[in-house]
Amino acid sequence: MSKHHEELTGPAARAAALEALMKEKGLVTDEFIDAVVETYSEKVGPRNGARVVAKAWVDAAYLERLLANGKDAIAELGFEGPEGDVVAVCNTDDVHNVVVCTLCSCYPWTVLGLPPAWYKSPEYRARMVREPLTLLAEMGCDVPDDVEVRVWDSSAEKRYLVVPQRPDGTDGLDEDKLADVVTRDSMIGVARL
Amino acid sequence: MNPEAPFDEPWQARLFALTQGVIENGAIDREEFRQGLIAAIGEAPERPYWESWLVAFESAAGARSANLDPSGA
Repeated sequence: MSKHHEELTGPAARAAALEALMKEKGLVTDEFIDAVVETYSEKVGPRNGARVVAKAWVDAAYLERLLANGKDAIAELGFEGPEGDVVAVCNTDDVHNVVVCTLCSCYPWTVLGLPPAWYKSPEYRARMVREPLTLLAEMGCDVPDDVEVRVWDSSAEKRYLVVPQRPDGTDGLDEDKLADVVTRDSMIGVARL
Repeated sequence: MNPEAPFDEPWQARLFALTQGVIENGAIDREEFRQGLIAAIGEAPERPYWESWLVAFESAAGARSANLDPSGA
């Protein structure tokens, strides 16, 4: 197949044809598409989730609200999106939480941005349920033997955010500095801080 | 391909945004789209993720062609 022909029939061309059709029908505009692309490439990302976690670490009342109603507590910080509920799950000395979407790619966009490619891979989706300890170890996340691993399967209605444990040696840090400590992977549960 | 990036190519980001627009517009139902995405991933687990998304969107747009016509015809 020639390169030219591929360009006409490949996924990029099919997507462009759909986009042209939807614009013609008046269902979407270039301005909307450009704004969404910019939002998710530049504005929405794991820094939002890090702000939420840092606040939960320093403010017990906020943590309580986050656990009671994740979506509302996240909106308090100005982070709002089109998705359903966000359920915060806290790591403790006894429990390590990790999130997967076994059927597709549900993910808390508002606080983490869009999921990385590996989160959507068939391997991650299957193995995090079947053999979480092995997969976590392969990803460099060593969970102590006496810690229970809980795997949360996301859906459109319930998307999970892991609240990692606050690391030792961070007592003197303010909320901004604490947020810098929080990584995306720790909020998915494939890393520990 | 960068495993840490949500998109490999610009068309994927535009398709994502296009889908959000049509869903917000009400022409396609969010949960119906998700079920279509689950089906598209399930029928070809090794197909690249955004191509499955494209198949799901093509299918939803086709199924809703009546709703997608602003004249209502």
